[in-house]
Amino acid sequence: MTDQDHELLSQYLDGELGAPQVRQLEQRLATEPALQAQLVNLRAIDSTVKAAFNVPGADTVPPQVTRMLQKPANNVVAFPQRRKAAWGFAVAASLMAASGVLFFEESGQPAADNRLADTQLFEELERAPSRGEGWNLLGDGRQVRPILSFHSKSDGWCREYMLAEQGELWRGVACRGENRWINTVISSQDIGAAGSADQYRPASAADTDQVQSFVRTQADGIALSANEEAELINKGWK
Amino acid sequence: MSSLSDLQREALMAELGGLRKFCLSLTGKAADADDLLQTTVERVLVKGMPADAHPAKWAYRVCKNAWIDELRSRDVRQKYPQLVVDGSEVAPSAEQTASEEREITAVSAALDKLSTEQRLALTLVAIEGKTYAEAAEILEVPVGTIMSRIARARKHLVEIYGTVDKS
Repeated sequence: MTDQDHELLSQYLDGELGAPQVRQLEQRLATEPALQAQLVNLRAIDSTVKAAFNVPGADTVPPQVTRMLQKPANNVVAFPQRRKAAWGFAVAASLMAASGVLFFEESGQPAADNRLADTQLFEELERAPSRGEGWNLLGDGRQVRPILSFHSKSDGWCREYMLAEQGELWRGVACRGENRWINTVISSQDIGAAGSADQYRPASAADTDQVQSFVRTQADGIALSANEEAELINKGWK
Repeated sequence: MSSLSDLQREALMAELGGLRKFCLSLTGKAADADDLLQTTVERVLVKGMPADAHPAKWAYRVCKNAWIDELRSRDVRQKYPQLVVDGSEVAPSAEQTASEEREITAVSAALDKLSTEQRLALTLVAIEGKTYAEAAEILEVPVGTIMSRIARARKHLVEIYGTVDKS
């Protein structure tokens, strides 16, 4: 096999040969087993290399990088139809099982919030296992990472998660009622321009404390193991 | 600060996904890929780009240069040791991720044995789907050079990949 033959095969694989050269090479391939075998080898290598790097998430851009390119005027737009950061909601566990869930802003005033109907997030929490790193892509472009699952003292299942959208990172806990998930604690995290979605920094200790405090006070025992969680997912959290 | 026009900024934004994959195929590690992508965007923002530059090709070129600088300055793979996975308590998605990372690591080990020039050319064409002409523009070499680099890269991979696969 000459270097020239290797170059021909390589160009053939890349679609860089002209029609006459293709015809000529294909005639040779039909009569030269060694050439044909090398083409098979090259194709196999190409497939392996392509498959290795065309995995889900390979083209997922870290939110902080996307934010770097957003125009300053758009830099603060994170959740359309939702109030911007600096809000951390906490719901008393005793209210979780109630049909109406009250959210309180930091001012102490009750606030309605359309996160209660975050269908895409809840569908992901219903079916996706927890993970230590990486993200699951939602249909609307947001990314979610279920972190852990635990049984709450209110006799329901809860999941802590992180949610990334347009350079903003949110941390929350959703708990499952009879047939649906309800957000119980949500806080905005400031990942900062030099930060990483994998190494989030809380906007304030108070925000993080709300999530941590909720998990600490409402978890009935330790977080589920991977196998326990998988079994629950299979059973629809029943 | 940035001297990018709105159009350049938007074009670069649209190219980020492909650039991230390019970074992953060069570094072989998600964390390194994120770092390289961020470095690339930072450089483009700080240094800007000529008004007549093709934003995507310019960004790939900046990325390529950033990666070469990185290779020269430190050993990336020592900074980010390979993920160790305990199979007993790993969620399925984490297992899947680990499997994909092992595959990337194996292929990266083979690609590591290529010269930097061969790896860049092969990555742009075989993984990113660039034409020889586009790759030549990004790497600032003649098309014929791209052609021979890719052919040599593939020939080397056929010779070495079996060894990597068995290890």
